Amino acid sequence: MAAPERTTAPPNGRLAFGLVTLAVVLAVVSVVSIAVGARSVGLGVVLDVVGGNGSGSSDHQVVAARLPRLFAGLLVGAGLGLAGAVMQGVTRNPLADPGLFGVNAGAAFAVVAAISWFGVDEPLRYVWFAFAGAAVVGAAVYAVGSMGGGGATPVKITLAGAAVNAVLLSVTTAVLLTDSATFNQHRFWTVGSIAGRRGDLVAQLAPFLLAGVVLALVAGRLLNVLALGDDVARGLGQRVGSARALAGAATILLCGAATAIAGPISFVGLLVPHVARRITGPDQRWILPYSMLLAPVLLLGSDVLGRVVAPPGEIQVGVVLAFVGAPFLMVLLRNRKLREL
Amino acid sequence: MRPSLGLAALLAAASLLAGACSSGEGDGAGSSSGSGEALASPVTVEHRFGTTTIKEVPKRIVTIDLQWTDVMLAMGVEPVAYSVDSLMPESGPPWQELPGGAKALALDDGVPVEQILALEPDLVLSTYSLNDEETYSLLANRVPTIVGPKDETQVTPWQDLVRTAGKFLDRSDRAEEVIGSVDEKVTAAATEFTGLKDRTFTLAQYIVGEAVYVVADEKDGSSLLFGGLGMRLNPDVLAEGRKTGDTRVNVGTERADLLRADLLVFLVNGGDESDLADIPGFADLPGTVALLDYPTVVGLNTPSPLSIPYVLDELRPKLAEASGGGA
Repeated sequence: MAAPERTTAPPNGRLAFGLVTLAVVLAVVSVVSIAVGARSVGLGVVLDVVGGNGSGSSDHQVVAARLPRLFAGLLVGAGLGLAGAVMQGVTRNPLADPGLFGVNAGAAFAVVAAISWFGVDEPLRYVWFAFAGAAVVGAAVYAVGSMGGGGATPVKITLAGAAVNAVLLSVTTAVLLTDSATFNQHRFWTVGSIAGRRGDLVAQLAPFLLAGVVLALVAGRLLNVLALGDDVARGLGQRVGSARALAGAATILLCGAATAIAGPISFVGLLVPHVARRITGPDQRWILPYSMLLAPVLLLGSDVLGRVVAPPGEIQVGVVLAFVGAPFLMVLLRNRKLREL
Repeated sequence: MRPSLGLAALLAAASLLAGACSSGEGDGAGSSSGSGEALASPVTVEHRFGTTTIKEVPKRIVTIDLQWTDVMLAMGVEPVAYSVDSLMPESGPPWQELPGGAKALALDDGVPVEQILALEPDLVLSTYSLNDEETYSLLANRVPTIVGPKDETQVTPWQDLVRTAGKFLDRSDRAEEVIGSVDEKVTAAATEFTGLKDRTFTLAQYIVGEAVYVVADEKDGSSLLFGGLGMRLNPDVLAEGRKTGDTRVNVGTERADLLRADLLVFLVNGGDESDLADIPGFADLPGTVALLDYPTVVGLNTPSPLSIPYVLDELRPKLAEASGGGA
């Protein structure tokens, strides 16, 4: 892993080929995530379900239930990977993570408030609270980070995010500690998971994620210019403020919807862009699509791992990622000078 | 931070319906207190954090956890304070009639040590909520305190709790009466529903969005009622219990096959029946499925001499169904 730091990007042809390869890998992981689970089922059953002629036997039902889980994994993974890449690009902070905008904390707080104060108990309804909480808090952090001279600088956004995170976490904890009925309902939402997310819930949030994906991919060129520093970017005719706002909007759409589906999932948004950057070099127009495909590979792979490591139980993907992600991150930190972002 | 919060939540969930208390017997030295009448021979109880010796009949008893509260009430003793399960209805477990004078203790912020000590109890009884040694020491340094057994996922048979109570209350005769009258009801049900003999049972809960927990030990306190009715645990579940070493096995939602039994007693914890859609194949389970509410399942899972008669009544139609239906 002692590869030299990339100063020049590989030729576009090779990067495009790599992207196609990655798409194939993602397709393979997707198939594995349908075929492998806590219950082992025959390949015939899997083919039946994929081919659309499930007989309704309980094996068929098990496989059919893995489909929304796969879609959830694809969307959440792509969303978090892209959001992480955009965040790191726009803040020029290698440790930026969707959590930095307070998005996870905002979503968690909104769900707790929905259950505890408004008596909302249907997942289909409180995902809207999650999404709204993520969006409002993300926007608020961005607004606080923009106050004062110099506009929304990376340092100010980071500080504002940390402060808002701390406040929301305290309030959420206070509500949960004093309201054990809410704690009981909210519990499943404290560990990120893509299990048991129903198709209609995933479908409901998919448009937001897809809109976020389009915005983020469009933002690639802008991020390249921002990476040169605000002054140079302005000198090149870039409107720095509106570029950041576009990136911020993409991030909020992506993480808000992803968090609403899966709950808080760490490491994906932090880790994947680093891996992508290692392959592609510094060009955001490549980092973004690589992140978008790499992240669901990591997420679905970890999810499959969580299904088979502790039979007959399953471990939530959020927990698996914490175990898988930490050593991965340490290897990356050892091998790469992060400040050279 | 996030994973550890999740794990804490998971553990809280797992311990919610798991729990335990064991009781030993015999003579031994240890702590004692109070000014009640001396016991003919001191009662020593072994538990998770050591042994506790009771030398005098306690007069001011604090009961933490339902099983002990029920055992005391069945023995005709009013605790000075008892813990409240916040997931129970506000009026308390449906089978309990609590004396007005007793103080209700909320456990939401952990065991309230100061509140308990302020009541100047001479005995504190717990099964699973008093589960960290530091809190235990805070209490035990001042008051004889009894907690659950070493294996914290196991539930102590209520009969053992009643017998222990009989000893330290110096009322072993009453203890046998209590046990006898409840056993009589179980035997009567077994006679009424002879078809249950050798049929299989499963007691499980689905913690919504998380996992299914299945009791996998025939000797666990929660299994004894079904044993008394002549029923057996599903052998596949027993095998998983042996493999994992857990009394309550964490089962993924895809493994509805482990819920197959002639009688499945099931709780949806933190949701409603619509959440059963998370468990593919649940609707097609072949046996009798008894979906019960939280209090009834708690009455089964951490049974007491008061909860068992109530639970038997609640289960009666399902017992009849499981007894009659061919399997």
